[in-house]
Parts: sequence; structure tokens; C-alpha cells
Amino acid sequence: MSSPWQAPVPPHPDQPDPTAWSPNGHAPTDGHAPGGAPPGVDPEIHPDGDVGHRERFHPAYMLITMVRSVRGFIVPIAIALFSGSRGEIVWLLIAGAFAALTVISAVANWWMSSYEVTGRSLRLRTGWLSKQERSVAFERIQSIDLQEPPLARLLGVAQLRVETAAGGGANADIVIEAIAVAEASALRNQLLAERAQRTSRPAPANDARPGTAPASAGTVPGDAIPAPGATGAALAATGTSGVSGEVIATLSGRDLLIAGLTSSRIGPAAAILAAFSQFGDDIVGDRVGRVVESSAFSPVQAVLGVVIVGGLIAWALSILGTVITFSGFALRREDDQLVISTGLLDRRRTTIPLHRIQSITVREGLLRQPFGLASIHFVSAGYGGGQQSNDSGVLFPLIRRADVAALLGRAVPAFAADIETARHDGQRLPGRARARYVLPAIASDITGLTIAVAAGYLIPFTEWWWGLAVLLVSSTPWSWLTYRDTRWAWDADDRLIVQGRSIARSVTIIPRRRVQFREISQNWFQRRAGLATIGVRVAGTTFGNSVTIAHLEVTDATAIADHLAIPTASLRRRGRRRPVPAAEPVVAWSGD
Amino acid sequence: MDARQARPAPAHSLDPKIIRLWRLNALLWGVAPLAAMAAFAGFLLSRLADWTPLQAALPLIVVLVVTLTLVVLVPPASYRSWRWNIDDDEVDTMSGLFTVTRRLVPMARIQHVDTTRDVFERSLQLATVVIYTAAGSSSIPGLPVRRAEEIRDQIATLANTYEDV
Repeated sequence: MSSPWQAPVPPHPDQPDPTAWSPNGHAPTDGHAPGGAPPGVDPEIHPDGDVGHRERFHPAYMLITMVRSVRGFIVPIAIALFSGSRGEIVWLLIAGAFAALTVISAVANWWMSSYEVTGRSLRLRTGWLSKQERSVAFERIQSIDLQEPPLARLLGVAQLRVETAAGGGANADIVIEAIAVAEASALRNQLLAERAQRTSRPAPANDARPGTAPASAGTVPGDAIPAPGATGAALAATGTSGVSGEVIATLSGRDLLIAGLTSSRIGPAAAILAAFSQFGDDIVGDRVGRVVESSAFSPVQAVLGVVIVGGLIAWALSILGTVITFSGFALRREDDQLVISTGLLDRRRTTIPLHRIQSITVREGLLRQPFGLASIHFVSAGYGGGQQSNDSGVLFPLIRRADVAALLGRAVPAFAADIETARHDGQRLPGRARARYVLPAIASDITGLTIAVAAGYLIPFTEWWWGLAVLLVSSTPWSWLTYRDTRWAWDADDRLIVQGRSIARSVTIIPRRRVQFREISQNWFQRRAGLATIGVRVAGTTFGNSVTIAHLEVTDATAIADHLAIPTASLRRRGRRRPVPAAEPVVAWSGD
Repeated sequence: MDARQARPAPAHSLDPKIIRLWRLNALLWGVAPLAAMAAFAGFLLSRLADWTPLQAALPLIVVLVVTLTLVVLVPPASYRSWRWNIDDDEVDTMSGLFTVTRRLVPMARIQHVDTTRDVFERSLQLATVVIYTAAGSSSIPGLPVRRAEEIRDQIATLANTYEDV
């Protein structure tokens, strides 16, 4: 992709000529660029003349900010409209002032915001009343996200989010709010190229053994792994040009539907529906009651009917949710990074450097396990992933278990572990751990059941408490399954492979060198039984262990912890911490 | 079997002054607010429910008895349970009353080290060393200031020498 930055071309017909407001011309007076400074050089902050061409955001940004501010005031606006005081002049004045302010601030914001690719960093200036400038050195860039929220898509623009390891939270370090789609792709490619040039970091799997190093680098593009039942479905148009790299896998329409049918979103969907029915009950409760009384159905049948219909609706919603999220899902590999594009309404493209991936989890949802289907998830350090942060993402939403190894081998060779062998030959929990899994579950089930029976006895009309009771005793068999399914193994490449279960069964793969620290804990009961719990944590999982194995032999827990030790003698000494000089860290300042 | 048999407990305990520090913190952040709430509840009950002054003082008395007992008993027990050690390979901490948690952080994973001192710690010449990794932090409280600084420098020197994540 050629980069338009050396010889800037107006990126969009209706965007003004960049030279008209570049620092060489009459730059917007942004506080720190004194008027007398020589063209293009800001002696205060960029002593080495490290400047590029400033580009404003796409003009669509104005509309986007206006919509945002109106959305923020939606409640007061609605109150004003429906309060019956519509005609009053005061209200008109307030509304007018509000509208004027919205427009002015949107225009001013757009006018004052710009991004700039300098010799060694991406610099962003934002703000109107309070200005902010932020630079991210190329080598500090961890991930670049391209997102197209619905409104942006209507306007033909995208949102470019650049994150560094410092982020951690939901906020990207640099967000270019509106940029023409083609330009966004070009900028992304340029940034990635700059980073690659500056980072002497050895490519992807620097922690894999030589034998497992990127074996797939030379595979034929387009030779995608057929996901379950796929017919090598054509890649759904992502709308963003400049997509390159080897396509590792795409999700076919049929698989998308299967993913929806078997998705675990059905739980949350049912909960939302239940909340709604509570709500609706207050409004139409009486009428429904009368219908039930007058119909030929018994109350039990009626309730059962409602549950079944509600379940079907929840299911349909979960299918819809899956389709919206994973429509057009494609996993590509560009040299040492993965590019994941997905989404029907809010399209996004995420770039994750392979060396940032810390662990991989293969999850077999409740409805997927019987069909041998699974989804693959990753945890990556310093990847905020936009709004739904959590530092973990979907590597592939639906795949046959048998194909997992092949996909991992091509996408993330450092994690291409033999899961099936580990599953069969892995170490299991000792027999006396069983009671520790099952007894608390039995206790909670008995408590729940007692409450349900009491409620069913006390509240006359709910003859269907037994239905609830079935749900309430479910945690006992579950805990037993968790006990039975838990196992762990080290593979030949020193990866810790742990199978566990919460609701879904999951297998997590953690290369030994990815482990940050580990915890062994023992409560009073475990101490008496000689059992312990071990937790292993990788980067990007600040709020909990990546993997926890509860109630294993103390000696086994200690052995795992010992194996994860990093003896000083084994480390290569380096003169300094990072291979890259601390050129230009993330800098942010704000002022007015 | 006790995990401490499978792997000997870390060598060092905290500075005994930490007991005083924990008590001070508990009094300020635990006992005081709870007592204020109990006193306010008593006041309301005496006004609205016509409780006698003795009855109205009851919530306050209960709260004070329970929390002060905890303040007396818990800090020494925590002090006894806390162990730590730092060698060339890792930072090893162990703490907890009912559940004893042992955290092992390899030197090579440490991103940076801080020493922090709040007001109470300053008055007792204590400091806390906080160790940051890419996956969260770990801290050793109640160290004599001198010691804390030595440890910080020691960790920084050791940790800085090695390869990044």
C-alpha cells in the first residue's frame, strides 16, 4: 500500500487542502506552537523537527459529535418536548442556544483536532476548550483497531484506535474518530510497517521451540481451513479495503447460523426476556389471568407454554446477536500478526501481534460439546479491544474440535498444542477432591430447594415451583462434572494445558514462558486433606487468574509452581531491558 | 498435608510495628465509620421509636464490642501468618488467616517496583514495597523504611537485568 503521507493528497473531495492548515501555512494556534516558530518546527516539544503533515479528521466527525451530544441530552430534550411547555419562548431560546452550542463545538472540535504521522510517532491533537496532545512512538504500538459503528458506516468513515501496553483499560491511547475508510487502511498499514521496521523483536513465536516455529508462513493464501460444514465460503465483504495477508479461516453463513443456534447467549437472552415478562406482567397480568382462567388449559400448561414460547424467543434473540457480532468473521495472518474482522452493523477489524498473545482457550459450550464444536479465545497483553475490553477476544467463533489443532498451527504456532492427547493422558484430581467439589454444591442446592419448596407451599398460585426446583438442583451434577473434567498436562513444548469447566468445558493453553506469576492457596479444610489450589496468571489478566486448578494434591501444586519458576541462571543477561531505545514514550499533556 | 511442608515457608516476617499500623487503619477506616452509623441509628431510634437512651446505645455498644475484639485479635494473627522472601530468582510472599495464599513472582517478570508510605506508615517509619508485573501487582507491607528501599533497589537491579516478557 502506498503511503499518502509523504505527498499528502486531499483524502476526501470535500476536505480542505491539507497545506492550507498544515504547520507550514497558517497553523491553528494551538497554544504550544508559538507564532514565531520557524515553519514546521516546534522548538518546545519537537527539537529535532520531528513533524509530519497534520491531517484533520474527516468532516463527518462534526456530524458524529453532534449526534453524540444530542444523544447525551436525550432525556432533557424529551422532557422539554413532552412537558407541555412547548410553545414558551424560554424553551425555544434554550433549545436554540443548545443547538448553536452543539454545532459550534462540533465544528470547533473538528477544526482543532488533527493527527500527524511524524518521523517516529503518531501524534494526535484533540480538544477545543481544553486541548490535548498525545504521541505514541511507533514501536510502542500494540494493536490497531479499525471500527465502523453504524453511523460512521453510513457516512463512509471508520474509527481508528491505536493502543499501547499502557492502556490496559477500555480506552485506546489514540482514537482517530473519523477517517475515510480507504485512508484508515492506508494509515494502519503504514503504522504497522513503521513499527515492524523499528522493532527488532524476533517474529511471532519467539517462545516456541525451533521445530514449531512459524511453519505456516509459506502456505498458500486462501487455503482456509474449512470450518464445520463450510464450503470454503467466500469471504464476506468487509467494506474496508487494504486487507492483506493469508486467510486462515472464515465463518460460512451456515456456521454462523450453527454458532447462533448453539450460542450460550441464550442464557442472558432468557434473563432479559424474564425481566421483560415481569414488567409486562404488571401491565397485562390481569388480562392474561382471565385468558388463562377462561381457556381450556390448566395453569400448569399455561405456564409451561409461556416458558417454551419465551425460550424460543430467547433463542431467536441469541441467534440474532451471534449473527450481528460474527457476520463476515475472517481470521487472517499478516507476517507476525493476526487480523480479525467481524461484525454486521458495527464492523471492526483488530490487529494483534502474535507475540502479545498470552494464552489460548478452546471453549466447548453446553450446546456445542455434544456436537464436537468449540470456539477459540485468546488473551492478549495490552489489547483493550474497544468497548467490550476484557483483554480477551474471539479468535474463531465456531470450529469442529478436530480442526482446532490445524487452525492453531496456522494462526498461532506457539500455541499449537495437542489438546486431545493432553485431555486423555492429563493428570486428574485425587479422589478425595470429589467431595470438595460436590459437597458445597449439594449444600447450596438444598438451600435453594428448601426456599423453593417453602415458596411453593406458601404462595398458592405458583404450582410450578417444581420447575424451579429442577433448575435449582442442577449445580450438584455440574460440580461433579467439573471434578471429572479437570485435568492438566505439560506438553513436549513446555506448555501447560489445563482442562476445566465453569458451565462450558474449556481447555487453556499457556506456554511456560508466558506465565507472569503463580499462587498456591490452601484453606483450613484443604490443609487437613493435603490439597491445595493453584492459580497461574498471564499478562492481560489483571483481575483474576488465567487458570485455576482447585483441590489438587499439595505436591502436584508445588510441582507445577516449581516448574514455572524462572531461575536466574537460565536467563540471558541483557545490557538493557528492551531491545528498543526508549525513543518517545506515550506522552500526553493537556492544558488550556 | 500443609503446603508449608511441601515447600518451606519464606524466611522473613514483617516488622512487628505493622500490628500497630493495622490497628490504626482498622480504627480509622473500620471502627469509626461503623460506630458513627450505629450511633446515628441509635439516635434515630430514640427519636422515632421512643427507645430509652440505654436501648438506643445498644447498636453502638454491639458494634464497638465486635469491632474492637477484631481489632485486638486479627492484626497479631495476620502478622504471624505473613512471611516473605526475596532471592535472586523470585519474590515469595505468603499471607492469609483462613486461606493461606502464597504468591511467587519471578524476578524476570517484574516491570517496576515502588515503595509507598502513607501518613500512618510515615509516623511508624514503615514502608510498603509494591511489585508490578504485566498481570497485576504484589506488595509487602510493613517493612522498615531503610529495608524497603534496599529491597526496592535490589529488585530493580535484579529485574532490570533480564529479558522482557
